[in-house]
Amino acid sequence: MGMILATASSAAGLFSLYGSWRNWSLLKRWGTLVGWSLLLLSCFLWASSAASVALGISYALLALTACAWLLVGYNRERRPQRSPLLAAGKVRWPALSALGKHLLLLLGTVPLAGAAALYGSTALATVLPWQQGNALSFAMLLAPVLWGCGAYWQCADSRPLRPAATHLAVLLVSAVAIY
Amino acid sequence: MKFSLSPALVKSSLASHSWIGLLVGFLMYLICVSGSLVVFSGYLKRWEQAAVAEYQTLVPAAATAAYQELLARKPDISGDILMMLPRDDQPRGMLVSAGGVYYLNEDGSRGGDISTPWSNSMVGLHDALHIPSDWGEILVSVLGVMLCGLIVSGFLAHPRIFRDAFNFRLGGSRHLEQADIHNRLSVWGAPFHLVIGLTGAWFGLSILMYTLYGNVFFGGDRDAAIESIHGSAPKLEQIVQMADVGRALQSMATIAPDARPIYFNVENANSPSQYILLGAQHPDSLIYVEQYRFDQQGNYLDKVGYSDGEPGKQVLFSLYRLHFGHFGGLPVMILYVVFGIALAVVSVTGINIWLVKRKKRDFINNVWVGLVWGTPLAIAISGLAALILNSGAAGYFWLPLLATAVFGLCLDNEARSKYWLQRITAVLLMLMALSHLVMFKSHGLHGAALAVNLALVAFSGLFLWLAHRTEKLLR
Repeated sequence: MGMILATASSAAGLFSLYGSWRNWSLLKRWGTLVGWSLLLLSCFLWASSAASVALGISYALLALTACAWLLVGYNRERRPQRSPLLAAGKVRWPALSALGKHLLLLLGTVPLAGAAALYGSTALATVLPWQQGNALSFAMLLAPVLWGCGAYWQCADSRPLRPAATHLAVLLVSAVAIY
Repeated sequence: MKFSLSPALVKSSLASHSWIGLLVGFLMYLICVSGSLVVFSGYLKRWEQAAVAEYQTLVPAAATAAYQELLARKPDISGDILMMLPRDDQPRGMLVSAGGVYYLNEDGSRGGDISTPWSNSMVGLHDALHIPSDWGEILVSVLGVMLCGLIVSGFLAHPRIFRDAFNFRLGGSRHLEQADIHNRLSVWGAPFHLVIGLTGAWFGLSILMYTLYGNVFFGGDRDAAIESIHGSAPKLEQIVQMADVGRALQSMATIAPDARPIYFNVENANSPSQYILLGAQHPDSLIYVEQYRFDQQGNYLDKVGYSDGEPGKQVLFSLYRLHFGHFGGLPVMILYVVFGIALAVVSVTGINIWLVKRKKRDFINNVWVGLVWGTPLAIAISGLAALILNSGAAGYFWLPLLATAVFGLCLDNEARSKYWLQRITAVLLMLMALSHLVMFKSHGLHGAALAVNLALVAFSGLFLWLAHRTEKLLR
C-alpha cells in the first residue's frame, strides 16, 4: 500500500508540474508549488514504505525520472522531417597552435584538476572532526565532484590560466598540508 | 517559473560542455551500452552455461562436502578459497580457488568448469574498456568524473531548463530534434546520471586514493589505508585444521536470521591465520553484504560492520549495488537498463548536435555513424564468438567495431550505413538466440536462458523496426 501511495504521489507531482507547464487553468497558479510538494511528499512516502530510508530515496529518484520521461513521451510532437542534405566539406585539420591549446586544456582538465581534487579532498579530510575512516570515505566521494567541477571551470573560463593556476595552488597547498 | 542565468555564463558553460562531451562522448557511449548489459550479467552467465544445475540453497553439509573434496584433491592449497552460494540472479553454487574454478552440484559434488567468456568480456569492456591492469579502471573512472562535470556544465548551459521542461519535438530541424532528445533525457535523468557518475568514478579512483592515503597517513602502507576504512583482518594463530565452513554457515541462522548468506571466503587457507569471511545480504540495506568472521573451527568472531558500523564504511559498501541497480529486484534492474540506454542516447545526441552545428559533412560523420551503430553489432559478434568458439577475446568486439567504422567511411552515406548496420545487427541477434537453442536445446527454453533468448529476439525485432524506419528516410 505504501509503495502504491508513493508511486501515486510521484506521478501526481510530475503531472501537476506538467499541468502548470501546459498552463492548464486548474494548475496554472499553484501547479508548480503543488507539484514540487507532492514530489517531496513522495520522497517521504518512498522512504517510509521501503525497507530502509536509503532504499526509499533511491526508489523515489528512479520514480521521478521514469514518470517525467513518460510525460515527456506523452507530450511528443511529430513534425515532418526537415533535414537538408549537408554539403560535403573538406576536412580542415586544426592548426598546430589550436592542437597545442587543446592539449593544454586536456592537461588542465584531467591530470591537473584531478590531482588538485584528490589532494584537496585528502587535505580536507585531515581537518574534518570525524573518525578517520569516515573522513577518508567522505574525501573519496568528494574528489570526483571537485574534479568534475574543476574540469568544467578549466574549459569554461575565457582565461584558462586562471583555473589552471588555482588548481596548481590547491595542489601545492594541499600537498604541503598533508605531507 | 523564473530562472535566469547570465548569457556569458551560459556561453562559457556551453563551450565547456561541448569540449568535455567531445572528449569523452564515444567512450561514455561504450560504457553505457556495456553497462546496460552488465546489469544483467548474472542472467547472461546463466545463459552462457544454460545446462548447469540450479537450486535455491546449498545446505551446510553440502558446502562442507565441497570444501572437503577440494582439500582432499589439493591438500597443500593456499591463498583464498571462495565459495559463491546460490542467490537470486544466480541460483547456482560455485567454487573459486587455486584448485579450480567450477560449479557445485546441490549435494556439494563438483560440477562443470565455469566458463562465461561473453559476460566476462562485457564486464571487462564496462569496467576497463578491455585495457589491462589498473589503468583501464582508472580511465573509466575518469569518465565518471567527466560525467559529473558534464552534469554541472549542462545545467549551467541550459537557460530554458524550465521553459523546455516537457518539450519533445521529433522530426523538423535535426538540430532541434537532437537537442530536445539530449536535454529531456539528461535533465530528468540527472539524479540517475549523477549517481552513476559518482559511484562509477569511485571504483577506479579508489585505487589512486588508497595509494595516496597509504603514503600520506600510513607510511606508504596501502593495506593499512584500506583497513582504516574497511577494518583489519582478525589476528589469529591456530594449529592448522580444515576450516569448518558448514558450522559457520549453520550458525548464521542464529547470528543474523534475516540475512541471506551469498558467499564465504576462507582467507589465507591452510595457514595458522586462516579464517572464514562470510558475506550475507541484508534485504533492508543498500550495502552489498555484511561480512561475518569465523575462526577455522567455525566459531563466530565478529562482523566487519558494513550494516551498522561507521557511516563511511556503510556508504562505500553501498556503491556497488547502487551503481548496478541490484537492490530492488527485476523492476529496478529493468529501469537501470532503460536509463543506461538513455544515457547512451544522451552521449550520442550530444555529438550529433555538434555534427549538425558544423553545417557540413565529412569523414567524421561517416565514421561516427559506423561506430554508433557498429557497437551493438560488435557486441552481437562477440556474443556469437563466445557461444560458438568459447572465446571472450577483446578482438571479437574491437575488430568488428573497427570494421563498421571503415564500412561507414566507405559507404559515405550516413542513412545507408545506419540501415545496413541495423539490419545486420538484427540478423546477428536472432542468430545468437538460434545458435543458443541449437547448442543448449531445451535448456535454452526455461529460466534465465529463456529470458535472455526472448530479449535477444525482442532486440532483434527492435533493430529490424529501426532499419525499416531508416529505410523510409532513404526513399
